[in-house]
Amino acid sequence: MKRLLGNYLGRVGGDYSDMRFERMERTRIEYRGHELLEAGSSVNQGFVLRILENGGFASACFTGVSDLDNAIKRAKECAQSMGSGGKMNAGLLVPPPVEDEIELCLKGDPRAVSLEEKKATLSSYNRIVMASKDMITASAVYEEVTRERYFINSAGTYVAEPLSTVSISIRMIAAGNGVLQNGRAVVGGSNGFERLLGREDVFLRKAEIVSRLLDARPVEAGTYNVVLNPEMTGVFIHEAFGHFSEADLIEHNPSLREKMTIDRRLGCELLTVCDDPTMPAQIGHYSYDDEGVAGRRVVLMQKGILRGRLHSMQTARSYGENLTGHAVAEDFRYAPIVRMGCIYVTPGDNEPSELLDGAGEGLYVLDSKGGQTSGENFTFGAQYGYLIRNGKPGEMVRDINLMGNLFETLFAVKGVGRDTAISEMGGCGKAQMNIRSAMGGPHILIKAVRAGGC
Amino acid sequence: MEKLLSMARGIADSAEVYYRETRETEIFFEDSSPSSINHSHRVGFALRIKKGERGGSSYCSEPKDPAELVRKAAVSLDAGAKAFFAFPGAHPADELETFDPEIEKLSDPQVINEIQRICAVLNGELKGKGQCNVSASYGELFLRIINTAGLDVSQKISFYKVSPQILFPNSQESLRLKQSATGFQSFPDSRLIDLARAYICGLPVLDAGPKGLDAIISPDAFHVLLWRLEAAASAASLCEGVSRLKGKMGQKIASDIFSLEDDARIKGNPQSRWFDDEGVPARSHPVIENGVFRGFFSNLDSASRLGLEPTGHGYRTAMWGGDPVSLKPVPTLAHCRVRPGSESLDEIIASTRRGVLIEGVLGAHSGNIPNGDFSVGLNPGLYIEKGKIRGRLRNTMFSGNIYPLFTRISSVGCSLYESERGMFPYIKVGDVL
Repeated sequence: MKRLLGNYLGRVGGDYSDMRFERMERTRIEYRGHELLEAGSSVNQGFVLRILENGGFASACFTGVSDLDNAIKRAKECAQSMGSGGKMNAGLLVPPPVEDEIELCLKGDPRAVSLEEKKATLSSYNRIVMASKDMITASAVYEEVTRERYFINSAGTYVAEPLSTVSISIRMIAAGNGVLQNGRAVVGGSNGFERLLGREDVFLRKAEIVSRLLDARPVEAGTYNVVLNPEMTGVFIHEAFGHFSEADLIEHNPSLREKMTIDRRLGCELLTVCDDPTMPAQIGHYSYDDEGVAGRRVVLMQKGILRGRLHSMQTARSYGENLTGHAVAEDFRYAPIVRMGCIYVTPGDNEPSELLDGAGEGLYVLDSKGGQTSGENFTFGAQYGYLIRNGKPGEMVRDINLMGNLFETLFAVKGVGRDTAISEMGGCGKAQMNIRSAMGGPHILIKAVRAGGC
Repeated sequence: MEKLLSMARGIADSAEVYYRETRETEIFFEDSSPSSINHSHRVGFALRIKKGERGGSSYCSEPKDPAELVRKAAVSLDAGAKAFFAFPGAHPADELETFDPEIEKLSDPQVINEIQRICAVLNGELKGKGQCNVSASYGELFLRIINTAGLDVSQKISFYKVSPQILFPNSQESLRLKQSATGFQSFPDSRLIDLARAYICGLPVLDAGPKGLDAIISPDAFHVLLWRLEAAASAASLCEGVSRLKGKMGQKIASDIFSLEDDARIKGNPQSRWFDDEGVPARSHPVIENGVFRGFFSNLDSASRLGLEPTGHGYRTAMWGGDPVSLKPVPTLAHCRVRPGSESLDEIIASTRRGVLIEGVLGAHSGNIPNGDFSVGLNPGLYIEKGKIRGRLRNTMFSGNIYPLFTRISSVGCSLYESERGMFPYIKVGDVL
């Protein structure tokens, strides 16, 4: 593969060029209710070519090798148009060349497990959910993606690293009291099929919660002291802060870039935040990013002070900062952009019960329903929550969406738990979908957060 | 494709081959300067086969080995997934003019010049008070579907899309416009100037004050409501027993002045289609007519389960994008259109004592979608008092349920604007924030 890609790249030229080839095998099984809706696997592949020439930086993605010459021509045209007519002046911080071939380290290679066994595993969890009280339907999905990635660049780097992710996700819907309530439970990771086995408790617990939501009332809109469970902490830090650690997001936004100056205090002393794609087993694990740069742990915030950010070769050059290995593409259809690998809040000193005590008449929110950010504003939803009474979770509430301002909320963190967990479900929709963006942390207490009910 | 179909016929009762090829160049300017350019040429094949009441599928980007694609579909078939539908037979071509040959002459420098012109117009109005970002893309899409029932349909589409955006300070909160056509079109200066003026009015940051605000929902923000309506009006939801609109056909569910249809055949729209991703003819489909719910929309699978004719809404889409070739067709409202009302946006604003113009939202995907609930952050929400925009609201949420909200629609704007899933006017709902 190295020789083949080298031959292709040799035809490109430019001040710098690189090429990534990916062969992606995907297996998907879905039950809807008790019925099998889909089961099968397919293979896709494609190339991503990038060229830097006279300040213009462009990419061309193509699926067939017969299209190589045209892709080179278009990439050069695009780079030239941006460099000359557009007055683009891009530069890249290209690391010293490296040659590496990484092998998957799996407990149970999912590709060696039969479709029947995968189906049986999914079906067993689906039956647990469907047999649960008030459940009217469920969408149970087994998803397995193996990306064989090969990267080469004109500076002499060649990296081959496959990535494997497996997950079982069940979206469940219960009905009663004239309403529908839903929830989702996920198990998954990057270290093999075995982690999906023996996880009945995860699905059973969530099915019970979804049933109980039918009797829960919507949370009253207002401002609360909130305690986030680890999954919510992960989404909070991903949305509220993580996106602004992605250098490309603020590179061309002078006002935000100024606010995100390194060594500036952005949060309270209790808050330390890191991103580490090399952390084993978690769903976002990789050794090299999609620019062939080694991923590494980055301390983004230390005791409330901004200490680092996530980079591609282009943004590292633009900021004059070190490479971090965070340029990631969804798959062969895209050039990489800066993405979080696995962002987390580091554990603090408090027991979760102390945080509940500290919340007063607050809100304990659990399990993510997704989030979104836009500059300094962010929202994130919870699957369920409890009103906190006398330091204990009390009445269950639903329809919880939290909203805040980055620069205010990070100062409002008043307690950080000593526990920690990384979510088994990845996901981030910045420009491309990234199912491998992991997040987590401990329980945390935040004062005065705006919550919207229905 | 024919060879693939022939091989598939050898192992199945019936089969379908779907082909999709796209060429696209995307150009991004941020802060009025070039930030990235990407070209792509993607080809994909998807195979679906049926044997008895079982179905199987596979896909690939380059079928160097068609036998392997057929073998994977056969393995999928053996897994035992049910497929009750029949592939549609040949139907008369009812083609649309969706291809402008001039697209092949459009060049990167021409698009870059247009982006620079847009930035110049906006910056001329903003005078340093805002940041302009502009994205543009152009290219071609070719689709073809053949099946063993004799269907052979294809469509060639050209597109040019541009979206100017002005960012508020310290933020990615923005006001934006979208325009698309089958060929190059210069963006009208008047719309850019209106955008810049609305932005300047929205610069002061305000608190909402007491409750009781009217909401004016923009075409961009309308997708929050559409997402939940689509979840209920989909025949797949009806099959699954999770539709809030079950048993509501012919019943009043919205204000008299509100009508929404899905029409894939709008002239001059590069999203227009004369068949869906299963080859079923596309046609206009009323969802809500003068406030009355008119019908579920379906793909082949959901229609067959309900014993109905498919409505031609089977598209290879998913909530978070994805490679269309890898997705199975699901019922989708891809070409929505709200019937325009009588008032201009200026008139709607002028008649509002206290309200908020919701130009964008955060968190549309959160909340209990099957139940119709939503709870979103305004991003931005422009505060209106005594008929004028006074600024934009800080940390404000908009929550509720679409069904009571639809009954309280008090005004529908007279102009339609392009958004993600169709053409929408500004819509006013009384006393909801």
